[in-house]
Amino acid sequence: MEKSKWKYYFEITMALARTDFKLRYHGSLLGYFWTLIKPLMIFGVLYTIFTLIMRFPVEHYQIYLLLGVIIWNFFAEGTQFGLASIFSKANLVSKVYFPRILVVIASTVSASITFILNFLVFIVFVIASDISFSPSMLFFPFYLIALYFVILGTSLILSVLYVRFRDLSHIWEIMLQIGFWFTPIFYTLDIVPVEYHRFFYLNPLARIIHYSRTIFLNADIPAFKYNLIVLVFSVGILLIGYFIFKRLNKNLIEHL
Amino acid sequence: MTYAITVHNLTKTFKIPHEKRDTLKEYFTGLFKKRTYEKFDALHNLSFSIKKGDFIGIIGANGSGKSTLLKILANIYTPSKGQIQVNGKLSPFLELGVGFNFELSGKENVYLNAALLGLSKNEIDERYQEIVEFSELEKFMDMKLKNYSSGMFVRLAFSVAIQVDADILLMDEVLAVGDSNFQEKCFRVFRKLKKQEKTIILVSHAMPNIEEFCDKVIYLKEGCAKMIGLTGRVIQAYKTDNLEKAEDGLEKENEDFIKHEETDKRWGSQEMVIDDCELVNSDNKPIYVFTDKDDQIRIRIKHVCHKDIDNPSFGIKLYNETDLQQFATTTFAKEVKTANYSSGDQVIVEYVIPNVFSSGEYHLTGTVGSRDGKLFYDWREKFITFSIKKEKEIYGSLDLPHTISIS
Repeated sequence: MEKSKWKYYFEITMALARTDFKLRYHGSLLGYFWTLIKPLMIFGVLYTIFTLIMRFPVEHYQIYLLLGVIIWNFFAEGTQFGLASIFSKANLVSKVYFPRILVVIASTVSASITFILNFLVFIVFVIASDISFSPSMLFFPFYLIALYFVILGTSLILSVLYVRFRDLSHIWEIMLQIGFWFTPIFYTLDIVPVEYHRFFYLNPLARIIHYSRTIFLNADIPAFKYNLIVLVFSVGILLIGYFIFKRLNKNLIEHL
Repeated sequence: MTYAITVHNLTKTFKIPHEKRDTLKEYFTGLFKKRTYEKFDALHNLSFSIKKGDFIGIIGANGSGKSTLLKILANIYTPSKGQIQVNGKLSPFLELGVGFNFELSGKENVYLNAALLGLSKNEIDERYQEIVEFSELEKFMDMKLKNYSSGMFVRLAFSVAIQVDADILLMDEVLAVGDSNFQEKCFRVFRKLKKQEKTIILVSHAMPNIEEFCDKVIYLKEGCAKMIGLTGRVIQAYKTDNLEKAEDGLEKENEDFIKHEETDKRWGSQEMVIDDCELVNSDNKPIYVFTDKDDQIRIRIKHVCHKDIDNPSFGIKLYNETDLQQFATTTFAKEVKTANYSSGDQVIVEYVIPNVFSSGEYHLTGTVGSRDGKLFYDWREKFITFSIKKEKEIYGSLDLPHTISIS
């Protein structure tokens, strides 16, 4: 019974994520290609500006930038889908019972599919560059899991709040916009005065992006201390998200 | 004794805020105002238990709490008070076609819907053919759902829904879908489920279905269990209740009809006017809805004279919904003597017509004019609407008294 329950939850999550993903580019001519085109466009624009016009002196800037862009894109898309997940499935969650958290998880899973496709492109870029393989790269899944926890935790909070406050989608859009500029995605922290660095590092995304770059570009794994901080941050956000979700979930359906 | 479901002192209270607070602005501007609620008990202190293998019907008027109860049993709403115990696997199936997405094809929807109902992908693969065959939609499975007719939609939904593996099934008005052929098929499935001794809870307004399938019925009224017991008895009570209610309802409808007045055309010299009209039944009770019980329709029209008038002719015309004149009469034609009236006089004319009409809405035109028919003082075209509601089937527009003899 216990085992089949988890299997059932898994099947539902997958079915919902599949549908989500299928419907997202439904009816568009290029279909799934959009998942690649969007981040690549952002990459292209930033790359053009910062290599040709502003001339950032960063080694392997295209890899540096692309990694930042796809990680940020994963976070932005994941949380945006997460935010709308419960509200947009109102007719479903008010008619069938299954743990509502699955709806949120499904939305982040479908964002993960996008990320995986993006990551494949990133791999191609890495192979095409003169960066040689280093074992440190195998540490990437750790940051990926941390990133996923951050996304899921944030989505859990946003999804239940959004049912109550419809303004949240606009607010979150602005926050993401601000976050994009305050996260070292296209710039390096070197250009930021040192006394502000600690503020930047309060942002878990900044750490995840920075350390990911370290393992890909510097063939080095950040010190244990830093990884612990990432772990604590991400698990903390996930737990906070989970408890807020649990609390607000109780009479949620009546607000839909 | 094993119970599938035990409900103890269940209460569900909904808070209905007097103002809505969906946006931050509304939230902040309302922050310092005390938020006021209307509390509403959708279910009140409900207790009952359902044995394993019982087929239970839940009946009651709209808003009596049937769906709320089902949603609480299904774990969608949380109870405000009380306990619920469920033994066995509960189907999450409340309504047909849950999670159906119109942009997806029939096939994709079957997979999605079945997953929601708790089938694994392998199980769906195995049963897919069966589902399609049952729905009789073989040719349409690759078509997008948005191009389905509503009949096809429910057929597909029902075909998936019956695949659910559960010990306890909750169903909200899911019977009687599709054409009569398909309905018969659905009923067969229900009989089968019943034979398999599944516990089934069915919410329906269709009494014949409840009567056929359910062993016991819970009759909800305003959130309370008015009666729980064997099907026949409860349905009888429900029907009796409903008849009384229907009479109340008729009264309300009667009130509504009064507002209908003076929307239509009116002409005439207004030397004598049609002032008021009252419809009463044979018991002299003013009504606007006549049923089988009312053998007469009495139309009382009050006229007020504004000038001295000699021997006017009063009349009425009766139209049905399709604007067909069903009946007309005047005092002149009927050779009823009228008097000479002077200004300020009130004249009440009563027409008594046997209630031979078939069900529907009727419009009444009142006229008053000179005896020779050349001048109308007041003509009020279709100024009153009333309706006939008969349970008796009438073939044709009129139910004329007649005899048939065979020799």
